[in-house]
Order: sequence, then structure tokens, then C-alpha cells
Amino acid sequence: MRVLRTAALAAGVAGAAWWVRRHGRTDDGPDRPLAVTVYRPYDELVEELGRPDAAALRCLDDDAELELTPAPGTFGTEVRLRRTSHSHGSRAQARQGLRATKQVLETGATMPPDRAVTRRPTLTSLPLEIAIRRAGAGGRL
Amino acid sequence: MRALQWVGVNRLEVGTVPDPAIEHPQDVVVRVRRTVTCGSDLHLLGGYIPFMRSGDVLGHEFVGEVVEVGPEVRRHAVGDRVVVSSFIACGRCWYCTRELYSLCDNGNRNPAITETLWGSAPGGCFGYSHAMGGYAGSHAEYVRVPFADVGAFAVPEGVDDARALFASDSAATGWMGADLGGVGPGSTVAVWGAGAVGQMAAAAAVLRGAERVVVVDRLDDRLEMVRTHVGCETLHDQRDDVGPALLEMTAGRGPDVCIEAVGMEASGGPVEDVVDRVKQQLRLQTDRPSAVRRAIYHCRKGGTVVVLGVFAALTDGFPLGALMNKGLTLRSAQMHGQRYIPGLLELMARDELVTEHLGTHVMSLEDGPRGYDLFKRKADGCVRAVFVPGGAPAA
Repeated sequence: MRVLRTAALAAGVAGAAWWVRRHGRTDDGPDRPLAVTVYRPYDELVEELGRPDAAALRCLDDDAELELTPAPGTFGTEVRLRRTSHSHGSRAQARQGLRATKQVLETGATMPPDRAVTRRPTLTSLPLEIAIRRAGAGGRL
Repeated sequence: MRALQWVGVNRLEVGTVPDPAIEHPQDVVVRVRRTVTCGSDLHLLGGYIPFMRSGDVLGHEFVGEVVEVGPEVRRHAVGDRVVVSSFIACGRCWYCTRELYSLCDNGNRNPAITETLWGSAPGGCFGYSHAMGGYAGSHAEYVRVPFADVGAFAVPEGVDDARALFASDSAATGWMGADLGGVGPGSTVAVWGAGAVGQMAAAAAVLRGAERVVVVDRLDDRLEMVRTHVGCETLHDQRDDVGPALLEMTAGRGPDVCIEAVGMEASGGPVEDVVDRVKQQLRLQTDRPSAVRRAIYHCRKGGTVVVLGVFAALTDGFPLGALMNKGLTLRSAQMHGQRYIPGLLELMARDELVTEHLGTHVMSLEDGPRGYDLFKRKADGCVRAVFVPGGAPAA
């Protein structure tokens, strides 16, 4: 049973590595905008984000281009971040910044992590460490 | 401070970790007075939800006293006795304003993990792995409570810690099951699982005026507890012929609402069990859903099945044919505690909802590993092990 489990785990890890490589390639393309829906009225957000000192903008690169449109129904406002060929940071950084922007606009601040209390870093915990490191910047956004 | 830490698959230790502090203006820090094991912790303990880092503090169901308050907290002051929702929610996003708190957009700091797994990220949860935000858990002397005005609730004076504790998660989850199922006068309700959540789902159904409520399990002591404290009928999963009994109870219709309160480590019939366990060990499926299968199979045509047990990802043998052809409604959620806790505390204050019997083993936090061992093996009649940081008589 242990051999089968190890083989299944190895196959899973190899499959995940293939998936990440395959899907990772498209991640840095500047074409598709990153988008979040912020639960705030459109007019209010246009006014707030129009101020150069808006706290929410501090989460984003200076060259980020934001596009705001009213969301359908009661959802608030759709915020799209378009990266250009001149954008400095990676798409992952932009994604993390956009998430933080949404959080600041909705709750007033970003939620910091608790202090890590890791006791035993091991080789087998390495994939988890990588996943956690990318957990704020990765994802489907 | 002292805390109960996950240090590896099926390995827990009590260790010393840094004290929490106010990290966000809407935080409070709570001194934990009581904290309790939950069946869903066992999925973490056993490595079925593989997002625990060695050293992470477990625990998400607790009651305590506010000892520090962030500058933007309005509803709480130092000294308040509070019960805290296990799910962390901002209270301001689209989901929170519709009382779908466990779906909060801003509660989970690690959205990529669950977005990749499930398509989008639910909210965060105390002590429930890095997939659910990586927040430190409550099996500790102190815990930081984010968005405290939204998730912490003052406990009425007449409700003691032993009772209030379960408003944090199990009673709220159980009540949500009855609520999602639309249970009301005239309903016939079957609940699979007589653990704390199953008992609370049955109690909620009774309190909401259900005509008939029956709980199915295979542990005699838990079924006895249901009859004594909830006051409803029971069926033994192995000794009773559950299907015919439910049909007889409902004159051939089947229960209107079937609530599953077991989760991803359910046990089924002998062959089903072997197949499910082998597939789970080989990681061909992550979850063993035998209680969900039964709930769907036995539910009446056009009825509602509510899944309260925690599931991680994928399962085989899901009876989609029965679901579709019987026109069932399938509902589920992690717990929207903030919606239910105030009402539950009122019921507790009026003695209409009792929960303290669920804490069968009360012990010091230092005895945490032993408490989880008892809880996992369901030994000595253990329904829930309750830990008292700073010391309590050993059970």
C-alpha cells in the first residue's frame, strides 16, 4: 500500500508540475486584464480612485491603468487593471496588488498574516511552502 | 504562550509560540477560556487537507475574554466575554452584506490555494490550514480575532462558557442546516451523524417546529444522547434497516429534508467502505461520501439535501442520477456563523438550546494531544474534547 501511495503521490506531483509549467507560460501575457468586483457604488469609486493620494492606489504600480465600470445588479463596480508592455512588476504582483486594492476599498485596510510559528521545515513540506508563498499572488484572477 | 500545534500527520504537540498582537485596526485579542475539538480538525490531523505547516495552531471553536482592542473596534471592550464565529468575515463585501459570511471576499489571505482547488476562494477560518487563510487557531492561551465587530459576540450573563462555546461553530452549523433545508412546521427531517453538528441540526429542526426528526448513527452512546438531550427519534445505521424505517415513518414518501453531518471520512457498508478507503489512500478521491449518498438516496422526491460535513475536493460514486431524477435540491455551505450566533445565544439564555452535554471531556490545554486521541477514536464516549488553557482538572 505504501508503494502504491508513494507512486500515486509522485504521479500527482509530476502532473501538478506539468500543469504549472504549461499554465505558467501564459501568466505573464499583458493581454488579458485582471479584474475584481468591488462592492462600492461606481460614482463613489470613481471619485475615490480619482484622487492621486487614494490609499487603495498604494497597493498598485504607478503605471497601472485602471478601468471602472458599474457591475450588473447589486455587485457594485468592476475594476479592471490593464498591464501594458511598459508595466514594471509581474502579472502575479499586479494580481496581488489588485486584491489588496479591493480589500482596502471594501474594509479600509489589508489583512496581515499571523506570525509564522513553523517548527520543522522538511523536504516534503517544500511544495506547501511554495504554495503558501504564492497563495496571495497566484490563483485564477 | 502555550498552544496546541499540528506538527505532522497524526502528530500534535503542546508548545510555546509568540503571543498574538493587534495587527489590523479591526482586531481584538482574546484570552481563550474554552476551546473545543471539531470533527473537521480530524481531516487536518490525518493529512486529508494537506495545507498544514508544521507548527500551525489548531482550533476554531472557542469562547474567551477580550484583552486588547484595535483602534477601529466599536462593539467590544477589554473584559467582554465573547464567543467568536469560526469563520472570519469582513462584514462589508457583497457576500457578507447578504449574510453569506463564510463566502467573504476579504477573509482569506491565501485565495490562490482555494481558487485553484475550487474555482474561487471562500472566507478564512481560525486554525484551519493555509488554504483557509493561515490564521492561528484557538487551541492556545490567546488568539487574534480579525474583524472583531463582525465575528465576535458578547455572551449574555446567564449563559456559561460550557454552553456558549458551541455557538461558535457546531450549533451555528447545525442551525444553518435546518435553515438551508427550509425546515419548519410539518417537515420530516433525517440527520446523518450524531456528533455535535448532527445533534445541533436535529435540535434546530425540533426548535423550528419540524413534525418529525430522526438522527442516524452507529454509536449507541451518541444516539442515547440525542434521545436524552434533543428529544427526537434515532436509528442505528447498522442494526436498524434505515431505508424501510424512513419510508415507514413517512408513509412511503421519504424525509422532506435530509441533512448530512458526517463529512469526508464517513463509513458506509462493508464493500463500499473498502472501496472508498482504498481510493482515498491512493488519492484517487479525497473524500469518502457514504453519508451523502444515503441522504440523497433516502430523501423524498423534490426534497432538499443539505451537506454540512466538510469535504476537501473530489469524490467518486456520487449519485447524480438520483439527485437529478428525483428533482432534489442540494444545498451546502461552510458556516455563516455571524448570521446565526446572536439568535443562538438568545435561545441558550432561555434554556431552549442546551449544548453543554456535547463537551464530554473537559481538560487542560496541556492534555490536548490526549483529547484529540480520545476524540478521534470516539473512545470513552467522547463527543467533543474541551480544552481550558491555563489549566483545568484532567478528565
